[in-house]
Amino acid sequence: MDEREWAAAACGGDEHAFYQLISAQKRKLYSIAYSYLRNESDALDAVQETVCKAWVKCRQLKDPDAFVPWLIRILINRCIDEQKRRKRVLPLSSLSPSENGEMISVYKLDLEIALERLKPKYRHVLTLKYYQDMTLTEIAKVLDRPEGTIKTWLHQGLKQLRSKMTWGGELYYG
Amino acid sequence: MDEKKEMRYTQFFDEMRQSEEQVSEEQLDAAIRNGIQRGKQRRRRATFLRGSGIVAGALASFLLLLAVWQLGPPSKPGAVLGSPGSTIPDYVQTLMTSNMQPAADHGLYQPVNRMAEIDGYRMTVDGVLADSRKMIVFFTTENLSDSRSKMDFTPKLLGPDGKEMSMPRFTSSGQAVPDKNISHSYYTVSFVEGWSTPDQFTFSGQFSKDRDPDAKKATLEVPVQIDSSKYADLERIVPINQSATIQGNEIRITEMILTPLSTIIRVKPDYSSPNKGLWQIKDAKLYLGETKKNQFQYFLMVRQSEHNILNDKANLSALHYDSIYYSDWNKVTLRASRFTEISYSESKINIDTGKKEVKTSNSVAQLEDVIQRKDSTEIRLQYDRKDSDLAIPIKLQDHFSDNSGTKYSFKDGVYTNYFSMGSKVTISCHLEPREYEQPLTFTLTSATEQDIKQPLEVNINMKK
Repeated sequence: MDEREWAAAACGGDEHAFYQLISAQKRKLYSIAYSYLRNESDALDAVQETVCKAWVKCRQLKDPDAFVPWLIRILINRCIDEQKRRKRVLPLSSLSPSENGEMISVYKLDLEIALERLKPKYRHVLTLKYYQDMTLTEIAKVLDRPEGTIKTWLHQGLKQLRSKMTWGGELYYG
Repeated sequence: MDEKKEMRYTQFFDEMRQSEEQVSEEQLDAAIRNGIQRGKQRRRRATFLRGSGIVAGALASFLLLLAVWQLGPPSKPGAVLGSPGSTIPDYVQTLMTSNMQPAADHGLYQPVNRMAEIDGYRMTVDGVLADSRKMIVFFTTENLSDSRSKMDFTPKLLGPDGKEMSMPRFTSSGQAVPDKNISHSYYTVSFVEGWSTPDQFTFSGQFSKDRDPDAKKATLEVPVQIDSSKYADLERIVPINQSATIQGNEIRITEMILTPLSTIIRVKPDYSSPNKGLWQIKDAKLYLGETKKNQFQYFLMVRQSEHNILNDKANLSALHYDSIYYSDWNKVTLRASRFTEISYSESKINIDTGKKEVKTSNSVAQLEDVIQRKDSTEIRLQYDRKDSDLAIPIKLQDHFSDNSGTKYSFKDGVYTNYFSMGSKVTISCHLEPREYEQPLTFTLTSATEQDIKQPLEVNINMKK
């Protein structure tokens, strides 16, 4: 069976097919969740909630080819909700040097902060491209936007990222 | 954007990639299974809520109908509640991975339901899913007395003599998200060539509180007997007999063994030099089905690698994958991109343990200390680990000799202990207290690995 057939069976209510299909994507799903939430248990929770929502809504999906992008879209939305919830309960500046006093690159800190400050749509594109190594076509499917729009978002995202960053050497904390 | 900057964006995520790789397959699998379970509950609830609106309207009509119909026709036999394998509790079902489920569906889950209790701890062996080469023990642990403290549990298999089973095996475990003081888990044991799942064993576990090594430990044991006739004939062998040449050495892929819980591919490296061996076939994925252009193809990742160890030298002997026993593939393909070879070299170090000094040495290890104790003499050697080294890069041979050439074994058969501080590895061994003719000669074997980039593709016809 190819992915399309698995997806068609899964959306028809075949639990085994649904499980197989999700299992084949489990590490990818986790890594996307982790890239947003940076925490193992929250990322696992986001995957679990995504699987739950996908199972409930699966029958409404008309095109089996769109299953995986649709799944990732649910996951990203779930991660954004979780981030919003965190902002409500956590102080704004939660970024602190490592407790162990390890070497941290200013570049990394800058990039992390700059990414946090980007508009979500730019951040999604940059994360999916540079973390998930997805092509613009794949990203367009996930975010349900035309490829041209994704290309624009990528350029805008990179441009804004550069303007928000300062470049430096290495700092030592600890 | 220039390539350098693009590369830095990619590198930025490397740290996250490393963190993400630490999550286990079992945790991911549990998240998926829990998600499906919750999805099912939500669907049922949604159906009920949708239905309840209709019910209110229909209720009046139903009561009216009941009044005129009195008792309706006899109902058909009621639908069976639960799945056909209803002997499998829900919490065990939730723990099962996609590799376990088909074997359970085919009746290989054997309920045990035996428990033991001590000092406020309880352990229940719920059941065992087994075939001839692998078994999974499902168990529940409970902290009955103190629900606030976390309990740590270490499982073990004991043989009929009450000692830990000595057979070579791989173990792993998985756990559902613990609910306060109760935890459902499984313990997987895969047996290597020449060994098989035992009919009888004792599942033993040691409890301690809050992972405190000094805390009082409670040991619980549950004897388990399983029926091996359930899986006695459930094994198929697919001959492969194909070979590849890696830097002049032949690697033979001999056969594939299919069982309900695993797929094993046997490998026979044939190295001309006794000081070299095959350590690993990297990224050895097993692709399922025909390879067609633009078609999604499932593959399995290696779960475990089995090695033959002869004279302290290891050679890859098998790759273990998840089971494809219950699926119907015409063809599978083993593909890999790299190999890791291992090279061994021997060195000797002569030590006068009385004077605590090295007489001669061609070894990369150095003498760190000689400690005289009441019941033994401890020798500590130190080795500076290199990046290319294996996890245990250097090994002390299990005997040493004195100046006259007489051979001795180390005390209590404890040959070496390794403790690592940064790049320094300390090898410690204990000698029986006696007068030795000095100096003493210790032999060490060190191993380094070499990565060889070479693709491998082995097509396996399953319908021979």
